[in-house]
Order: sequence, then C-alpha cells, then structure tokens
Amino acid sequence: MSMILFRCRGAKWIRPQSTVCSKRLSSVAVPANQPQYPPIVEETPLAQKLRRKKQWHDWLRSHDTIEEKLFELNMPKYYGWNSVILRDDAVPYNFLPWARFSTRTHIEVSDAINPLYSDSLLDTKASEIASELKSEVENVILFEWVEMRRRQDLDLYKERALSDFESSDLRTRSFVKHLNQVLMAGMVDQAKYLNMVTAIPDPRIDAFWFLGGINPSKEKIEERKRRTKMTNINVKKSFLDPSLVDLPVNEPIQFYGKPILQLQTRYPLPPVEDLKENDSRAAGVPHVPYEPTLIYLEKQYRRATTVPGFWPGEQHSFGMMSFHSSSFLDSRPFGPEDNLEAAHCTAILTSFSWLLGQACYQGFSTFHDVTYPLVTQTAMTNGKDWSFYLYQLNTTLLHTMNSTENPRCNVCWASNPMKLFEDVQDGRVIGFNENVLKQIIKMYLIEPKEREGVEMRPYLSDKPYVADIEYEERRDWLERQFKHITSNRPRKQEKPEVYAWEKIFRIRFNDLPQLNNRKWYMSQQPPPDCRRYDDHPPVYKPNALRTEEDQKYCHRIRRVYRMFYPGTNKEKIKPPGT
Amino acid sequence: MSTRWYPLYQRGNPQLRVFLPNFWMKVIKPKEEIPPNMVHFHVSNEMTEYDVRNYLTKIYKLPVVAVRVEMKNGETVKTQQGDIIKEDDYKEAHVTMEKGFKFSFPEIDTRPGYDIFKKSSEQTKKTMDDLEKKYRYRPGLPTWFEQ
Repeated sequence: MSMILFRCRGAKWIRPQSTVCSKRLSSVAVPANQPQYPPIVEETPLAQKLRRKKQWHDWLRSHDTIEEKLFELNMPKYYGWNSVILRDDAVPYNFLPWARFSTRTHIEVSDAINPLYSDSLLDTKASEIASELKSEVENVILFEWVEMRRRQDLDLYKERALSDFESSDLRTRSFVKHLNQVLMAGMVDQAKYLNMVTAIPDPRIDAFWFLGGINPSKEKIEERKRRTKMTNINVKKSFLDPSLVDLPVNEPIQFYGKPILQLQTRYPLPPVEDLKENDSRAAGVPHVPYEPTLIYLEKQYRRATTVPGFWPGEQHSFGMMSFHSSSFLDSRPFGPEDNLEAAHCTAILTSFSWLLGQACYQGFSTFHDVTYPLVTQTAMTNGKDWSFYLYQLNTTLLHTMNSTENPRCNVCWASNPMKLFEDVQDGRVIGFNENVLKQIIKMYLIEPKEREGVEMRPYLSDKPYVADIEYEERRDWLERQFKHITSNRPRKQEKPEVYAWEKIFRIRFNDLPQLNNRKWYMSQQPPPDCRRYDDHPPVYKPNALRTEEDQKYCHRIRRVYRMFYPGTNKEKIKPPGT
Repeated sequence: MSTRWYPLYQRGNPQLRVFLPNFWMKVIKPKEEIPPNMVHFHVSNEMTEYDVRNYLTKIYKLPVVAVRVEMKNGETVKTQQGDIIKEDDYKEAHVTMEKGFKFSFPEIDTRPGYDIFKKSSEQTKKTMDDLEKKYRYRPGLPTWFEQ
C-alpha cells in the first residue's frame, strides 16, 4: 500500500461560503442607542498568528487534570516533536550562554552562595552537627574508596573493564546515597521534618518546554516561502503572510536527566526573594539566536514528556535537594576553565527542569507562568569536589517573544567547587574539609514550609488527577495513553520516508509522470509532520467485545472504541430513549 | 603538491606519511548565522577531523577547539539535453575556535565588474528605446534625416 491514507485536518475540504450574510446576527433585538460592537483586535498577520496560538494555550489551560495538560502538549504532532535533546552528562564547549538563554537564568557565583546560608543560628547548628558526624562521614569515605569491592572489580567480570569515567561515576553514586543515609540518621533528632522527606535514588527527570527567539533554519525559511504562495482554499490553513517569513522560531526542548538522589517534601522550600514583576537582571540574560544544530546540539523526534521523578498524585511533590554526578567533566577535553562553566550549565539545566516539572504538576505549564516562586538546592559532585547551587524558579514562560522580552527571570546562586577531602592513603582520609560537610548539612537544615495565603493550584480543578475521574472508560483510557506517551515508544507504522530517487526524480524534477503511485508530496496534502496526534481512523470494536449496553446505541457508536483526548468526551453518551 | 594519492587508512596498515599531501581548505560564507568563534570550510574529501585540526593548528597556529566534518551531496541539475546529472560531492568542516576568537566572513564582490557591465547595458537599452520611440511612426525614414 504505497498511498498513505490519513485524513489531515489541514487538508479537509472546505465548502465555499457565501459572502452574503444570510443569518441573523443576534436573536435579541438591540436598541439603537446601545449598539454592541465586537472587541477591537489588532489585525496584523503577526497578531493574528499569536491569537491563533493563544487559542491553543487557553484550551490547554482549561483542562481539569495534570495528565491532560501534559498530554495536550503532544496533540499537535503525530510522530512527536523534533526537539532539541539536552542531557545532563554531555555539555558542548562554551555552553553557559546558551544554558542561561534557554532557561532565562541570572547566575551569581560566590563562595558564600547566598546570605541564606550565613545565618548565625543555622551556622552554629550546622557546625555542631558537622563535628558530631565528621568521623562517621570519614568512615563512609573509607568504605567507598577502600573497602568496597564492586562486581566490576572482581575477576569474574574482567571481560569488560570499566572506563575511568564509568567507575568513578559508580563510586560517586553509591557514595552519595550512603552519605545521605548517614546524614539523615544523624540529623533527624535535631530536625524532625526530615522524617517526612522522601529520598529517591536514581530518579527520572524529564522536562519539555518551548524556547522562542531562535533563527529559522534554511529549510524552515524555504518551507515558509512555499507557504506564502498557497492560494488553494483546501490548504488555506497553512497559508503564511510574506511578512512572517523571517520571524524567529520556537524550538521544542526536551531535557533528560538522571540525578543520583533527590529529596522530596510535602511543602515547598521558602522563597529566597520575592517574585519581582520587573526584574532588572532579566536584561542581562544573553540572547543566543543560533540554530541549535549549528552549535553541536542534536535534534530527535520525541514525545513531550515531563516527569520530575514522580507521577501525578505523589504526596511529596516539592523538591528540597538533589545530588548530581559531575564525573563526566573529567572526560571533556576543553580544560578546567570550561569544565567549571559546564558544571554551572548542568546545574542550571537540571534545577530548571526539575522545578519546571514540579510547576507542571501544580497546573502551570510552559505557556502559563508560575504565580509563586519555587526553590531547589543542587549539589554537583564527583565524590571529592563539591559545588553547590541554589535555584529559584520565577518564570516558566520562554516561548515566542518571552525568551527575550519576559520581564521576569530565574536566579541561580552558585559556588565554586570545594574539596571534601584530598585523598585516601593507608586507610586514612587526608585533608578532610569540614566546611563542605557543613554546607551540605545547612542545605538539609533549611525547612520546607507550607505557603500560607497562596493559592497553590490556580489552573487546576478540584479533581486534579486522572484517577479522580468518575467515568470509568475515560479514566482508564487517559491513564493508559498518558503512560504510553511518557514511555516514548515510536509509532508502529513509521513516518513515510522520502527516498533519494524520489527526491531527485519526482520532487526536484518531475520527470516520472508515468509512475502511477501517488505520494503525499505530489498532492496538496500537508506533510506528515503536520499530522495531529488524534488524526487516525476510529478503532474498531469487535462484536465479541461489545457489551449489552453498547447494543443500545446506533451502529456508528457501538462499532468503535470511544476516544477521550484531553478535554473531550467528558460525559457518557445517553442511550436513546432515556 | 605531490603527485601521490593520500591513501585511505585501513585498520592494521602501517601509518603512511605523504610529504605535501593534496590537502586544501577554503573558507566559505555560512548559509545561516553562526557564532563569531565558528568558521565553516570546504575541504578536500580525504581530510578527516584530525587532518583539519592539524592543518589549522600546525600551519596557521589557530586556537582550534572542536572540528566536525560532514560529507555533502552534490547538487542535481538538468542539462540542456534533458539529462539529470549530479555534481561532485564535497566535504564541509565546521570548526569551533576558542571563546575570544572572532571571525566574520569578509564582504567580497562575488561578480567583479558586474556593476559597470550593468550600467553600460542599461545605457545601451535606453538609447535603443529612445530611437525606437523616435522612429515608431516613421518607418523606413533614413537616420541622417534631421527634423
């Protein structure tokens, strides 16, 4: 079957409509002295385009549950978004400007990190605990560096020797988890709330957002130019005004991270500073408009997934602290100065992504800004070197003009790397630095508190999870589809490929008119990239699976499964005659 | 330039060294906007990433940080006889220099002398038009006939 059979919304045939207004505009008689005018809106092509986008954003905002909102981000693309893939263990050269631009972050580097940690009460309490726990932490170091024998070290598994990076990463991961256990056990008497902290090892951090203000690629400009020439009414939806050809594009960005450990709490950390509507620091955020593939970033077709290490419905849905491995820095060939910046980049991207995920689970999104700031603490370590970060999320708006004109900006307070210890020799830890341990303890000692007088979920309904939906069929369907999307499986039938010979002989030079098989690019159908997620024929329901209740409905309803895409089919269909 | 081909290295072969290989690099104007510390080149097809890096660092002492080479397909064109042919493939190198390095492609006159040619051809056309206008309703009138 060479012909690709699908009905695309953009290609739907539209009946030519009469220009004569045959309908009465309003059923109520309007008195002449109180005329009702439609609202005055800007009619430039750009304003029209933004208004069309805003329709979708408002539709996304109107959904009741978190899962539907995250699902809705996937609706425009049948084969997934061609998104820029960011990972937390691969940072290109000179990446800090782009990392700051893509998260709209202002960064301040100082050894004291933030005045929050210089509080005298906190300082004395932390130094007391640090002196108590020092010997225990030294024991942990000795255990992980000297006594621990991993299965990769044994002769049995010598076939594939681990690289330095891999073995150091393994050791860091197990060290941090061990350290967390010791600290939690030692501090829980002084800080009771640590009883209520969930520690999640190796969580999955996914985040998806749109970044505006990026130069369109050469292919994009060509495609846009083609769209300016369309006059056929069948494809009128994709018509583009010539003035919009050079407009910057929105780039979908997908982040994948794998922290060592994260600590979650029921309430958020207190904000470091108040939310400023007009932040002067926002002007200092660099604008890096280059096309991502030109600056060594890869693009792949992926579903938009946002997972902050837990699923919707988790009680402890706010972050307190996360630990990340910085072992990958040693394998970079760009020198220590760039490695320092790379550590900042990873910290910024992971902190932003985690907080964005948390914000999304409170009902905000990349199109709807947070109404209160969220804070997290991050530590980057390879066991010996530690650098600490405090990150406050003030805005999630980065799409279209917001990437350059948003008056708010996120703030990251960073420290330079410090050594926890110099080395391990003859069964002793050499050069143990208590200040670093003190800093880690201080981060544990900042108590999360309930935000009083703040509406935490302004964009969600009373029943914010899919699990709360009462209509059973809809609940099951949405749950199954949401999990399927987050599993990132590709489509069974792949996207139609354009072969090289087709590109040369059929697209570039239409030289083979005698060939009879028609493809999508020969018709005026939009390309497969424009196909929407719900653009598929209804799924047939076999007779054996139809219930008695189904038999009451007409054949059009009973023969197919009902679809419950976000915001649709909320009510059951009433059987005829009831 | 040597007459000897630079042989493709196969695993297990001894490292062959060629004095003055057939290597060349040409700075090109990037098709899209790129960062100021990046430069795009056309290079000879045999050059690898290491070759490009060595060429720039050893001969020109440039602060190269990263290199990426990519083979590009030649353009397909239709000849006057109606045959479709493909031009030669070429290799493109995207080189990243150190942070402080700045390079912008100079503005070069791609068609030297075109302005003068265009001006003179416009002048000629104008003269011809004037003449045609003058003699439109006087067919066959000799040019020496003054009014």
